Amino acid sequence: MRACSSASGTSPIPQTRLILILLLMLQIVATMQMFVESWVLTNGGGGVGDNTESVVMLIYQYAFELSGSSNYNSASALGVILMLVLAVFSGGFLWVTRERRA
Amino acid sequence: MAVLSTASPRASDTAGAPRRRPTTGSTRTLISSAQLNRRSGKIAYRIVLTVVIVAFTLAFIGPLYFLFSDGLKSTQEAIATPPTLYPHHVYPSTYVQAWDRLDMARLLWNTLYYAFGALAFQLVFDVTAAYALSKLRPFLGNAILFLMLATLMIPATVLVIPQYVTMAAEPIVHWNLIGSPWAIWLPSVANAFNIFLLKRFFDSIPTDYIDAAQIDGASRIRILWRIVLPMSRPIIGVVSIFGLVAVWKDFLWPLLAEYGYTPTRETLNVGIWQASNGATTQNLIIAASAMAAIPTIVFFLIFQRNIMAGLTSGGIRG
Repeated sequence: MRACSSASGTSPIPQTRLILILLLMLQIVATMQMFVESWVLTNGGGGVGDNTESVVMLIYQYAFELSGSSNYNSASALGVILMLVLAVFSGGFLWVTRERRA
Repeated sequence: MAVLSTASPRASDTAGAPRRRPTTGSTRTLISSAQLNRRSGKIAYRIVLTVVIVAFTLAFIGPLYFLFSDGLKSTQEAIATPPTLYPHHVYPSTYVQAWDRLDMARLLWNTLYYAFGALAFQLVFDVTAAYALSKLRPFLGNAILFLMLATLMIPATVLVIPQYVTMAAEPIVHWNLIGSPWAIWLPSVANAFNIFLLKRFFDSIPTDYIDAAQIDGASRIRILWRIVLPMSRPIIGVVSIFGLVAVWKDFLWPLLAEYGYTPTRETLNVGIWQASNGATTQNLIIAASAMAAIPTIVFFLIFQRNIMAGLTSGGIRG
């Protein structure tokens, strides 16, 4: 493998390309669903001017805090929107980084 | 791709090899071995290695160090800015106070109760589901497996609200399970990842064993119990670890399901969070967090090998 790649003058990074892309995508998708960090550090408030408010925190607030009563419909709808955004992102990301064969 | 797979012979060679790179080695490196074996190459290699090891150790051990040492500080010292690097006056009694004040025994018991209950349900239902999908092959089994795998594509947090609504009024029977252990036990069973892991392992068990047992007149349950399960110890260990750890470290779901009852039904995470909102001082909270972390750290050190095996069997390997 080494001999082969040095003969063609390429570095081995392309061999780890697939796993790097996958890990990057999974990490972004996981971070988009952040809840605990903001919630615990700001006592569920979202910080100054909602600067650390995450989508999942907003889902929680729709369901259990805002407007007094439980607004499960809006919360679920927001969840579906988050899912669609992540699906479009993942698809687009994989499409952009796909292996191009000449 | 040997990046994550410890099983490949080439990867284990590099792990065991001396630090000097062999000139004709088959390891894949960014810099050629000729360059590395030059004098300047060796020095640069040492420097980079030291910096990487030190930086990573600090990044991983640093937070743990402050977790345990801050619990030993006095209240003033724990909230001091800038933080002190080590406790100038050591107060081990903080841990005792935290244990009593936060009712840690109760929280610990709750968490263990939820975790092992969830594990029991997962083992019973996930193993039988995987066995059915792998060996019994019911009508539309593949369609069911596809639907289960499809749920892996849905982000977990999206399902939190529907899950809450379902638990607050179970379909058909209309029980409200919020506040009971069932609210944690039942959803933990619907785990497509565990079923998939088990199914893939069961697939690798040759059908000959099952045919032989069937000819001897064993029932399907007996085959599962006497033949498939004893052969599946490794994967069952992995699934158990995942199951326990998932319940132990979850925050959002126990917050929704078990928060705000007297006597408390909270898990460690939620209990400590609730105490941090009240009048409990910072060093007590940190001491309590440290105590909550100890079981998982010990657990990891004991089962390190199985956890690694589980991670590499999780499909992220080329």
